[in-house]
Amino acid sequence: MKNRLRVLRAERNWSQADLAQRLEVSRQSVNAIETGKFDPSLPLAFRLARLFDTTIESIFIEDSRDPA
Amino acid sequence: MKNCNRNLSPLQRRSISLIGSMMAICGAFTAIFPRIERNNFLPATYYGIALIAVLPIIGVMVVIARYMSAEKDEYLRHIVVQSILWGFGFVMVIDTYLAYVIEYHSFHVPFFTALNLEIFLITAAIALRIQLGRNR
Repeated sequence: MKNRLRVLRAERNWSQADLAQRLEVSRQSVNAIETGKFDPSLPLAFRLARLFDTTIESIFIEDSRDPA
Repeated sequence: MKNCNRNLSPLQRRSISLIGSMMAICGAFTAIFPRIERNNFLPATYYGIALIAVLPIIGVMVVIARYMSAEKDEYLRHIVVQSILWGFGFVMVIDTYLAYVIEYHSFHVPFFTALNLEIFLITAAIALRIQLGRNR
């Protein structure tokens, strides 16, 4: 699943460590989500959306290769 | 259980030190138990020694279960589960291989199977390290 996390983070001048601290997760988690290696759970996706003051759909974009 | 010591949370530090203690106890049992003179033992004593030998493994299961329930970071939980599966897989490969060697050729095989816990934990730690290294 693709996402706009890196863009949203860059708009706010946050490092991965800053975002990780705000989400109370590890920096590795933020990196794994950003690079698409790990899809977050719904609660974490909601926390991300709340943090960036947007919706989950505007952060995460369904990849055509993702299973239906 | 992160990639380097200074980044470890108190929970991770505590879990690693407990797992290290269990490994040390298991290693000590492996060194001590085969040397015990057992000619005059009752059969129940063998079962008793075998039960004592599995206690560190049960301890590690408890430590890992407590870590998994207390770890808030879902990505770390995810890679710890994957690493544990690698550990189990590797132990099964070695045990199955040794079982066939013993069955077909009656070779004398060293006491490797008593080191299952060490093999499991070292494999899991290497798998965890590789996964963290791939996601810096």
